[in-house]
Amino acid sequence: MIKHHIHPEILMAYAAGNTTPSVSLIVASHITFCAECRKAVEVYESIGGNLLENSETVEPSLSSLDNIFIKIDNIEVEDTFNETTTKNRFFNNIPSVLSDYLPDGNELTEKWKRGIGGIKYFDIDLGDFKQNTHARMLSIPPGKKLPHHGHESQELTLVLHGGFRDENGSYNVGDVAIEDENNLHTPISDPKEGCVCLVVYEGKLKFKGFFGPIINILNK
Amino acid sequence: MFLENSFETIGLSAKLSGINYKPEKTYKLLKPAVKDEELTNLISLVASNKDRVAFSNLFKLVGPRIKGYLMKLGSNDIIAEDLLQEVMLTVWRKSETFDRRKAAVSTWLFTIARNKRIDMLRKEIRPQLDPMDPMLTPNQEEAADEKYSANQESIKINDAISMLPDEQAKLIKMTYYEDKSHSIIAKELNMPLGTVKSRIRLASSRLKKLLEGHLHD
Repeated sequence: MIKHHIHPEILMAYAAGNTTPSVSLIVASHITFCAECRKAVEVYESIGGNLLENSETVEPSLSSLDNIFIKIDNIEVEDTFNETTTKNRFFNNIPSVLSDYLPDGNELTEKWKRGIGGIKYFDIDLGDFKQNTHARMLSIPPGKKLPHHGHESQELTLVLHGGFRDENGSYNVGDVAIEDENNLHTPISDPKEGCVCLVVYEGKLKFKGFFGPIINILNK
Repeated sequence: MFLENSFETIGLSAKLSGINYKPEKTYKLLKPAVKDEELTNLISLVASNKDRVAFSNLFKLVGPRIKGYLMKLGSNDIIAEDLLQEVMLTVWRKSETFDRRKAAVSTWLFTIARNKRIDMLRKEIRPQLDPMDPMLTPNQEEAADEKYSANQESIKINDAISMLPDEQAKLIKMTYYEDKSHSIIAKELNMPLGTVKSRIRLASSRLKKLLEGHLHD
């Protein structure tokens, strides 16, 4: 059961199409686990459908349909060539939308970078660093305790394996921790499983969220 | 749906002009629902037979609406035309993924248009849910006899938006009609980002409560 959800205004922005690629990635991954948020996204998409439906009509150009049929003939040739290309789906416990952006390997973290204290990480480049948004996979060893810290900009953490807990409760697979205020936290990763998570953050390369201190050290 | 001066718009404009909205005009209620069924049939003909006649008819019914929508969002005629063709191309290719039990035709078309705009105008990646992902948790139980009505949905959405306080409705409009992110909205309205977020949070959770469970009624 998912206990920690993504805020509705983020789900709405995702449905409307104005989240950055990294935020879209974490929303799409979370709603793979979370039927409730998935349903909410459907509701918000239907608002978009309603607006489309009530738009004024503008006549397409006279050649519009012919052009589409020409394109259809072209893509059907392409499609027969491309049908065999499969996506990177190596890890059956990771949502496929996320798995598509991860390096292959026998183990999830095989090709990730190694940081201090047994931490591994992998940066997912979705091209939105110009918008100051970043996505990073983190693997934290079991029972790792982090110092008290606060945060400034929005940071979302989706648990993919194991979990962590802090003063606000425990976060397990599928849960998202969202930090956008100056709360203080002392998170500790699951004592047996550790924690594999996707972290999406806004702002410069200065993490202040749940695993912020670790990320800041990794960046040095 | 997709009719000129369709009934759905009446709720909002009536609210704006202060006239009480009366839902008992049943003769008008029926027509759009038939239309949605017609569109669904055309899409399934495209999906099952790659039926070009059905596709042409579908294009005639939805093309002008999609183009109008794209222009409302700020594209000029040339770009809107280009996007429209790409949207219809996707309709052709992905017709078999349309599931009327999950969404209205207009909602499906909206998601395709949204993704094309992100891809072609913003040139951004759009990671999105894979509906075939084996990891997908099952949906919450829905009654088997719940039957979907696009028409009812449309009325409820307009009603729900018109029930929001004006400042919240404005932010919803900026999100959808003007395609603006929270930070851009904050800049334009000269409001702190946190205020924009918390207002949209109120509006979106209200809308969710009002509309959830009614979508598939």
